[in-house]
Amino acid sequence: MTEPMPTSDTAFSDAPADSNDLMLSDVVGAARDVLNVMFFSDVLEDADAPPAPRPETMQVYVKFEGDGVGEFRMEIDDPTAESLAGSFLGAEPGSAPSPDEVQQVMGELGNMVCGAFLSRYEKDGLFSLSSPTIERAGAAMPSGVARSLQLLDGTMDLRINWSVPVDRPGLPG
Amino acid sequence: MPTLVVGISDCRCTNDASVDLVTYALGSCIAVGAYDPVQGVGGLLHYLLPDSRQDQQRATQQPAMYADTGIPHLIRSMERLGAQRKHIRVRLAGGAQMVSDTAQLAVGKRNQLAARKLLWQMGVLVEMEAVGGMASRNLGLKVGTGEFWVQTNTQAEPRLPEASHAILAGAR
Amino acid sequence: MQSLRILIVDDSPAMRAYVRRTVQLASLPVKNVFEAGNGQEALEIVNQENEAPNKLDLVFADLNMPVMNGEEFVAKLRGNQRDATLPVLIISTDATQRRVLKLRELGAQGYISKPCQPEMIRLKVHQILGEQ
Repeated sequence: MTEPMPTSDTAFSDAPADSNDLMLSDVVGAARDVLNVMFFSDVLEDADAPPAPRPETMQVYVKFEGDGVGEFRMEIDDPTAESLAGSFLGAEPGSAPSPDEVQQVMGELGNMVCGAFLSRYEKDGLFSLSSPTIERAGAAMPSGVARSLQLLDGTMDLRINWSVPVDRPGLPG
Repeated sequence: MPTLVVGISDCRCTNDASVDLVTYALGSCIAVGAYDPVQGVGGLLHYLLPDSRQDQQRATQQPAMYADTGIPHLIRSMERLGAQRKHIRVRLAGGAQMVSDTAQLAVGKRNQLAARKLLWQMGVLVEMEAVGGMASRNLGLKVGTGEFWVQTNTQAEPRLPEASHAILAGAR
Repeated sequence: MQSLRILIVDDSPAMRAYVRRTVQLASLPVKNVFEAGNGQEALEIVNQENEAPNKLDLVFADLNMPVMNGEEFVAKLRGNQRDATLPVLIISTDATQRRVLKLRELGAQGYISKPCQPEMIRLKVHQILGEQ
């Protein structure tokens, strides 16, 4: 006797790990797209991220709500942030952007990666994003998924935590 | 009409309206074609690698070998012929991923990112690009009219001049 | 296209700088660039600067902004007869079809999804101002 083929829904609901993979692949894809187009950088490789922020990093938070509710966090060390900000602003070699400019550009980078991720992950969803906030001593996120990216310019960690996941059968938040 | 062939690690600029600038067999290399329609100045650079820091002595002798020395060299040479950055229109071609390229990030992609970064730094916008993929390309510029053309050569489709227009028109 | 007067509405100073740099590099005859951090500030600038004979030519607007977001800004702008034809080009990361359709209904002329290359901004400006 043969077993029936599983439907796609049961396949998804039986495989939460795969769904997290989907989310991670969307967040890495979103980061790569933003970095390529507006920062002239790229993702060389990605790996599991540590649960808590690394020391000596800037943390950019973006909250989102709409068809799901959650928080996105980007962690980046100062030399990487300065290099990426200089690229975005078109700074001549040797002229470093000011600390304020670096913060502003990193806020925009976090906003774009978060927005691009949501557009990929929930193509028909509607979300509104908070203005990015920046901190230097972040705590571990209670749950969610995280990825550490090795860039041409340095290292960046990305985390996503859904408090109210998108209502989509079989996909966890 | 004389054709001036720009070789690998070479850069030519002219305001001679009778000249066609052309460069052939772009793999992972990038060609930067530039034209100032106000002054009728054209330039073409064919560089090999993104970053001169690996061999600065070589970069001094042969600036057109690297993006970070070649692109400033191209723009400044055009400025010496009267071109102005705000009028310069740029097209890129090349940056393909070669089959043998197993590096972490392919040279072609790095070359493309370097071109766009350098041009943004210098205040020159890229108008169109025919880059990436696995095709070998040729890029030409008629200095008399400012008309660019790209030829794309693939193994499956040896020569597709019409498709080349589609690539340029569809480029981001 | 003569002596353009452009307004950039975005709560991100970095993005305002990016758009400003692009329009300044794009061979456009830019006369003035005004900046606002949200829709409310933008409406105040429109009230000051969009009176004949010195009318604004184009507005770039973000969607997610504090105080007044981009959708509300476009709706309010279109509610005033004087500003009904002032072209608005939205630049946002939110590229979902539902959002784009809604913005079109509200009266936005164009939509650019971020990340975007400067060339895309230049092309859209030519498209919108060339159609006028």
